[in-house]
Amino acid sequence: MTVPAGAPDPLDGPARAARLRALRDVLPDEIWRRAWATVGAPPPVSAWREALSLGLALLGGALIGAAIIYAVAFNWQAMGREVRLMLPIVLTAGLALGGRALGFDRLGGLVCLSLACLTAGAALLVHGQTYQTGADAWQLFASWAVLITPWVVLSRFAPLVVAWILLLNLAFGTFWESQFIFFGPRVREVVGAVMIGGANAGLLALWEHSGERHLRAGAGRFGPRTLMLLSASPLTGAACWSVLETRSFGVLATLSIGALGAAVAVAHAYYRPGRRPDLFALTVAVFAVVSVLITGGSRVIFDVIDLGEGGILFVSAYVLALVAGAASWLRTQHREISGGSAAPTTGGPGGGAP
Amino acid sequence: MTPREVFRSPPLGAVLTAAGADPATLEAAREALRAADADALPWYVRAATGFGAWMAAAFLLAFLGAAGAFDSAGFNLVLGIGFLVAACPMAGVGNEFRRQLAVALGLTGQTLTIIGLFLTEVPASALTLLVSVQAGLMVVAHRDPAHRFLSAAAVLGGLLAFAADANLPVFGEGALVAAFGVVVLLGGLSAERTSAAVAAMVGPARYGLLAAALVVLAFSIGPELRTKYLTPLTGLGLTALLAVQMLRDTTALGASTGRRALILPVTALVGGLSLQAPGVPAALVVLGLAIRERDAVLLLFGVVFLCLFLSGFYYSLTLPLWHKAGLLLASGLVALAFRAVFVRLVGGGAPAAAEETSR
Repeated sequence: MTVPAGAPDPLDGPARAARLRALRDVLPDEIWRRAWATVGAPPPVSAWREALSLGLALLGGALIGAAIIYAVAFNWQAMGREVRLMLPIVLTAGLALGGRALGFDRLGGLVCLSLACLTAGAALLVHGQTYQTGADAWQLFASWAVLITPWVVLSRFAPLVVAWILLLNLAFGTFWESQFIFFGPRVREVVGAVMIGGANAGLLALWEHSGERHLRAGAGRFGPRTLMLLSASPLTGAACWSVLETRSFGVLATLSIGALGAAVAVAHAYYRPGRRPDLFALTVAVFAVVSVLITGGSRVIFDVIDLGEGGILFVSAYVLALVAGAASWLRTQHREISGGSAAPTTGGPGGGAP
Repeated sequence: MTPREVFRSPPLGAVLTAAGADPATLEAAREALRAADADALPWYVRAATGFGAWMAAAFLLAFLGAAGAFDSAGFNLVLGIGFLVAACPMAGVGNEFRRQLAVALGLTGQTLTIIGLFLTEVPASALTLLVSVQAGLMVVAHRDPAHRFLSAAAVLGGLLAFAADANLPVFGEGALVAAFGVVVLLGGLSAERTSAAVAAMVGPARYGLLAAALVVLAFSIGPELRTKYLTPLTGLGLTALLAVQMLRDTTALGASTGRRALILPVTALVGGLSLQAPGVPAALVVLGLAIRERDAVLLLFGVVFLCLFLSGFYYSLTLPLWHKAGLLLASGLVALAFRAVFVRLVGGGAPAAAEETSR
């Protein structure tokens, strides 16, 4: 069997019952029994102690936190404007200072700073409500994102960076929806989706290039995969929307399908086996294409060929064929990535996947 | 040990080496695992393809509905049973088209037989029981994990619908508590003696049963539905299950009688709470299973539903905000006090015998 360079060693994977069961015919009986004794044993006392201690501490903290929120809510009407405004500001400052005292190279400090970013938004919200500024939703999100940018840069904490990017997406979405009216509704939505999808793809490229080196807790795939979804979802939505409107919006269809096609091509070139393999990225890409093909095919079956009720049966078979094709292709990619046998088998240790 | 390590299984290679595997055995294991891992698709691929198959099933049903097939009981029954018979041998084996087709046919077949039975004017209570039986058969016969998950959920759904229709609330509550009991029991199955086929069936079916039971309990948050459909039996039954589970785990860990006595005040507290919030002991049962089995999915279920049930409990209390704040503060202090007692009793380092037993 040819194992691709960089393929993970399966023995580094977790010792779970399903994986050990796959070795029943390979391991000698004695080793098999000893391994089962380890895998099937409940966790040691120390594990229970840690889990229960942390669980009770979190529960107690959450209940006391909720008590404070209820107490503030009870007294909200009785508080003056200044007090209402100062509460979240003082909380934000306290959390930021607490984070600094703990140090941004420690998890506690980073969590404090992340909570400070959250309460900064609450302070802006209270400010808007207390003084009735009449600001739009996008202004709140945008000013929140701008306000916390220095802390995001300072912390370089990957989960906070992801949250900040989500906030930017929200700000752009609400801004585009409420302010950018001169393109007309459909054109505006497609152009906006292509813009935000492209921007997220650019951030994804940046993260893949240097995120692991520069971000704290940035080694995992959570950040890039969130960005993949943030890139693919608007592009796929725009392409599907354009396909449905092709008759009058041919240019839009060309633009959105072109953008999606380019994104899928780049994703395949970058994340394919042998380069920087990531099955999640390939799954997102292939199902983006499948979604557009389902939309387009359904339109052809119902609008162009006009098969009537029989068309529904055709769509059912068409969907099944596309999904089966996608699953088959992904299975091949997965085998190449994990360096397993290319021969078709009847089910994995999980009992066969759909 | 950090909390993160609690849910992290050791590397399989380290376990095999500790069990005495030599380099040649390790290499053979590596090859076998490569083949097995390559065949087991990750959850997101299964979810995406499963969704596609459900979509195909929905279109197939829409076609049959549009063609007027839903009018004939016999046609629905014959076609439904035919689909099920065709789907089972195809499920989980062969090429992808067969696998996806098996899921679509299985879902469509189950729906058609239900429609067919409905059209034969079978009494509603019998219909719900038949739904349950059919779903139970599908858990065994249809090897697709997503299909097994849904079928297991349908087993419980059918039983609860039967209880509601036949006006047998105690039966429904018993079924709900029994569902959690089955989930606990299946978790205790001897992994060594369980064949791969049984393990492949139990895994998704257990999650399906658990998800359905927790979702049903989520409806008990509002006082209207809770007082209409639930008596204290559900909460107390789940509390009893939690107590049995705690007793089993502390015994397995070799805890002394004094330490096991801690179970009593915890049971009393949770039992009292369960009268207003029957979901709380259920979520605690799931959390206990999550730690015992080092299962992150169960942990997620437990944490999310515990937050949901506790929030619902405090929200639905008919007290002024000020009183609620006081009650929350007192509850938080009680939780921290429990922690302090627990850490004092167990935190000084467990007896070596207990650690040894747990290994």
